[in-house]
Amino acid sequence: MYITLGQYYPAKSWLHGLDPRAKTIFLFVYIIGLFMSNSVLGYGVCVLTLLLGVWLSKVPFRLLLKGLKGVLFLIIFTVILNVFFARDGNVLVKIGIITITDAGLISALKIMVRLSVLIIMSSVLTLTTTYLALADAIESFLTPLKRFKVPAHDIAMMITIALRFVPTLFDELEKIKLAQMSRGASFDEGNIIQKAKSMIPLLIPLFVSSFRTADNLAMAMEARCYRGDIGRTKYVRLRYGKEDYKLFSAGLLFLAVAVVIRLLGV
Amino acid sequence: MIEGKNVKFSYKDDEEKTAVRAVDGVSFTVEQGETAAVLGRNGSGKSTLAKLINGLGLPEEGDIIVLGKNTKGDSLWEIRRACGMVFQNPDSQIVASIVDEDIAFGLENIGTPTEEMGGKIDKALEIVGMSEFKKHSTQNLSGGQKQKIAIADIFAMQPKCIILDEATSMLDPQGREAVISAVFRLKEEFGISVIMITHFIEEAALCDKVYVMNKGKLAAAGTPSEVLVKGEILEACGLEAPFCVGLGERLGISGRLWKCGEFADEVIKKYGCEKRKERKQEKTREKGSILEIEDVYYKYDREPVLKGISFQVKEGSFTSVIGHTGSGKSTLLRTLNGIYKPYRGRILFKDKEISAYKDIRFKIGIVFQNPDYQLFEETVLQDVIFGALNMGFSEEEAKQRAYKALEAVGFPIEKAEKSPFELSGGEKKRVSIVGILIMEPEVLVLDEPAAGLDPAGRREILRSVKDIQKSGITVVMVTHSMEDAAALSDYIVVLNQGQVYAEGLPQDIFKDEDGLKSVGLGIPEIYRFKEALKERGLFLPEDCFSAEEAAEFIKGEGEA
Repeated sequence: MYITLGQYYPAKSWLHGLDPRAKTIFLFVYIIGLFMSNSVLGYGVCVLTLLLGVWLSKVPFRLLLKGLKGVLFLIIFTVILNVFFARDGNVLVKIGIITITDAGLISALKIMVRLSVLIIMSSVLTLTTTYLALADAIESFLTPLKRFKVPAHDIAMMITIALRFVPTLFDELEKIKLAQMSRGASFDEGNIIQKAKSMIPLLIPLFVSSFRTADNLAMAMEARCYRGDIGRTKYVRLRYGKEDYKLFSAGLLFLAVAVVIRLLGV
Repeated sequence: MIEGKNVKFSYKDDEEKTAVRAVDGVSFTVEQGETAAVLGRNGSGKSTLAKLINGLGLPEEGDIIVLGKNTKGDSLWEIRRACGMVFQNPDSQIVASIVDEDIAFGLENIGTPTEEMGGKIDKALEIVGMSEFKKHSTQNLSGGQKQKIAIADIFAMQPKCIILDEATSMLDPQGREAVISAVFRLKEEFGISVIMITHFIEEAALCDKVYVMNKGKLAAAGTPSEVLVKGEILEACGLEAPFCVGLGERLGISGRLWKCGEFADEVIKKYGCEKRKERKQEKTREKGSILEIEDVYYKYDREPVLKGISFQVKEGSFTSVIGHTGSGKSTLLRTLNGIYKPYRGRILFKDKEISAYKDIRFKIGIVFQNPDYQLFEETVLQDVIFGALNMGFSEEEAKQRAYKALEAVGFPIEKAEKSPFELSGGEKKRVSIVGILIMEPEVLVLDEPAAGLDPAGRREILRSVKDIQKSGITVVMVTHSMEDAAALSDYIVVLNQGQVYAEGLPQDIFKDEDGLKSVGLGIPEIYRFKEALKERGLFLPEDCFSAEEAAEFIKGEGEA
């Protein structure tokens, strides 16, 4: 399985160079706009903005589509639910308890577009932002909450490390799978219970190895003088620049257009 | 600069009752700019000692003084900053996903002003020769490159001392050399002390001082030329003496850390170079091929890794496939039992394509490098029968097979009811081999069976593998160790960049030292010694690959 969400694509693009906070805020605004959209025109604006974003990120579109494949199951599942459970609108097909209506089809289509656009746009954020930068952004958003004893720094560090080890875990899982296959294990035979059971030889070595890695990593971090945010400085000091304000303006413009389209109902 | 006085340390279990003494009264000193090696087998306490120096644990008795400060005092962070540490596993010490951010991590921790960080990062990358990787993802680097980043991480923090805790044990010879030369550059240009925790004698020989640890105690200490000539002590500590020292002791020529040529002179002086009785050559019966690899191509995504590989494996033989990291040897191994399917070419097992066999994975068994990636059951016995159960055997039959296989590799039967997670590295390796042997394969393929083990563990596991071959199973071993390949195999295939660079009998392969160097491999020390003897007029038999055999021959004791 290939997942682009949570991976970084090294390149020099306009989007890569922006403040991670600006990008996160933009994504947030974009999601609001996306969920407000209800018409073909509204979705058109969203998709156009998305394409513009992808172009500015210099991330190959092929890579994004490949990432979409990883969550294809989720999308199909939601679409099917929508098709079968919609009750309003004109009935197109009726077989037994299954009723398919035109409104159901349309809402399913909308959900599909919404989900895909949402996933691709979020991927664009993580593909153009390193984990540390992302964590810095999260930390900076959470900093006001420090007053209420929210451990902003620790949360951010946890997220960074979790993301850093996603590819490592997949790598290990692949190796474990090969080793168990060589002992005659198979993972896609039998019913659900047998399948779940066949996962045990994969999961236990993965857990054991993760615990060991966590132990070693903690020790290595301590040896490199890590002790939470006591006396800690930042490699990249976050500061909004001219380009970031451009992104903010773009976000506001997008939101305004989305609101107008929604209010006018076109 | 760093001083340990009668240091003692024990690991306690959860209830803090039974304590295991890991370090038992060790004293040492390391001066500024000095390099010291701590040698010892796994479990000798050498890594524990390293952690104590860094303050990752405090001695129960005795003191460790770093730059005049006791690790028990309140200067812990100063001590950690002054003594950087590089650990064994490259993957579990890199914190960030981008190279420069990883170096920044340490600088951030010690409060370096933002403006100064960029310069320090560039400098550190330049020192380890990784400048062009500044913006690369840490995930896709090789093991050696990751360790160089770990060294840059430490160097950027301007330490007084750098401790390598078996930092090269997971690397191939090329990676090991790169890491060692990076560290020595720090020593020479910046006067940084180096403490190397290792079980490689060659690394210890480069240092000013050597401490040998055994069961928590110091077994020997001194300069390399004082310590490394004590072959008996080294071997008693589960280590391996340098080749010339080991052979010298067998020939009664001892007392020095010989260079190959000097040693050959001494041998000739003592034993002369008249012709010896030829050893009787064991004639191996020519057998047919059991495996035929024909023009195999394989690629990941779009990148070709195997580019037309062909060779044959004779039935009952011991074939080694050698190559450095990235030569394609691990990928090749995965095609042998059909887990990876080549997009061109084919693999024949007993003259039929492997895809024609339904149960090919039971006929060609593959043991992967890291046993931790396959152990999962509650007991050793339960774990090793997994393969047999998958073949459809009853639990009773499977257990009978298990006992037989455990015995075949010399695994202590009384430990069969233990959890596999409590075993030592060498024992785990054995269990992982048994997990495959239980399927009674006709060909056993092993990926780096001795990787990460100390010399004693290494010797034992390789002996087991050789015994398995002698019992009639064809063995294919993938390795980057020329020594191991030379000592065990009767046929060698050298891979380079996804192609066969050379293949043949060991003695023919090792004739081409320059060629092997050009593909990142070396030749075994014994071969270098044989060449030195040859120049002086004494010819050792071509198939002699151990110090024992060489000693017998030189003394003229080999059977007629």
